Amino acid sequence: MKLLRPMSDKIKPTALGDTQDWDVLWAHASSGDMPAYEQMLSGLARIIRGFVRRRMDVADDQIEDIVQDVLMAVHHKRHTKRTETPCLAWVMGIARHKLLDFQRRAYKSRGRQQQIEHHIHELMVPPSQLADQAKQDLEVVMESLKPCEQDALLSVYVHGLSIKEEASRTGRSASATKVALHRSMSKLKNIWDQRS
Amino acid sequence: MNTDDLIKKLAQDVAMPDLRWAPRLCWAIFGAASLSIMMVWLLLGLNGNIPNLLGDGQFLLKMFWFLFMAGSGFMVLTKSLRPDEAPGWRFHLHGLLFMGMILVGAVDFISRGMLVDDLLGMTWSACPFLVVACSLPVLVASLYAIRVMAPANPGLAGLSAGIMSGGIGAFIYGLHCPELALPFISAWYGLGIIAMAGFGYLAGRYVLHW
Repeated sequence: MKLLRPMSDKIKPTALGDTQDWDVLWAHASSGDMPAYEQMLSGLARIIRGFVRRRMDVADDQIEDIVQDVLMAVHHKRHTKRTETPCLAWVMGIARHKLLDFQRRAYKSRGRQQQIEHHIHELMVPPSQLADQAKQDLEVVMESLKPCEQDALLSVYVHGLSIKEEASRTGRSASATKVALHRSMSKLKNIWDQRS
Repeated sequence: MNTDDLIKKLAQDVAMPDLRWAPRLCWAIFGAASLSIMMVWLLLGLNGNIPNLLGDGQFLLKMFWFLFMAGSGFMVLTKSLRPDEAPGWRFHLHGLLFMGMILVGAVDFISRGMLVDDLLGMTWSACPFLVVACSLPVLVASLYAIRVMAPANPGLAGLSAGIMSGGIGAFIYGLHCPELALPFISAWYGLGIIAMAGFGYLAGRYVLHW
């Protein structure tokens, strides 16, 4: 029992001394003895802190959050303690409930966190990779065209030559160039329709 | 806030609150049950044949089954309201009573040659809904009444409250309902009570959370 003795000197000595008999303290507190109640709560806080720390591997401020949560529940639910049952068992029941609740919430929010991260990873494809993909797609599609059609398509639609310029560059007639352009476009359209 | 400050603040408020769950719960049940009885009386009408049925075994079995379900729900509920208390073996009462009635209904159904009329009666499609309608006021009121408590397992406490209110609601609806065949009662009243148990569980997890 020595380990459980109050270490802090913040507790003012009462008529009860520094007793650890929670049931005696409870009896005094429930008849309106404020110092006894304070002494009981700060003694219990130490036990609850140890209880939580043994069971959860979290930062100290989170442990303190749980301890305060338990103390508030002890206070707000103090009418649920039966006179015949030991005080510490009742307090530990509350501590266990609050600890479970905390773990459940932590578990849930961790699940949500992972989901969000998963979505972010999906969305965060680097733009260069997207461009590479589009380029690859285009190259695959272009291979199904004849060389003269490829030529016409690239010169007119990609590099921006006029049909006359393209005709004089390749030495073919303007109408033949137009036909090549038209065919290549309709071929591409067919391929595109099949793919999607 | 610093924990020492919190303790000082809590200690200021040392006076014990006067919250007794038993009168609260009993008044809630009484009030809600009265409401349900009024609803059945005004909207559906009471079964005028009941005085003649008081010696009828099927009628008595039906009504006592509901009372026993309500009683087991109440008993388990009152043992699930504190952080250091669990209903233990009592919890199995629900299941035993329920399965017992299902068994009785099934045996009766088979021994009488599986007549569809025994199972469906005249009112099977309305029965579970009306049982639920008669039970819901009791469930809402009793959950509200025990919110001040701190059940170790809010879901199971809610489930017991659901069984209790299902039993009470079934009894109240039984004041109107003309059906007496045991297979009918096991199946359709049973469905209504099961539904209430489910509602109670789901509601308890939220309403009784602390």
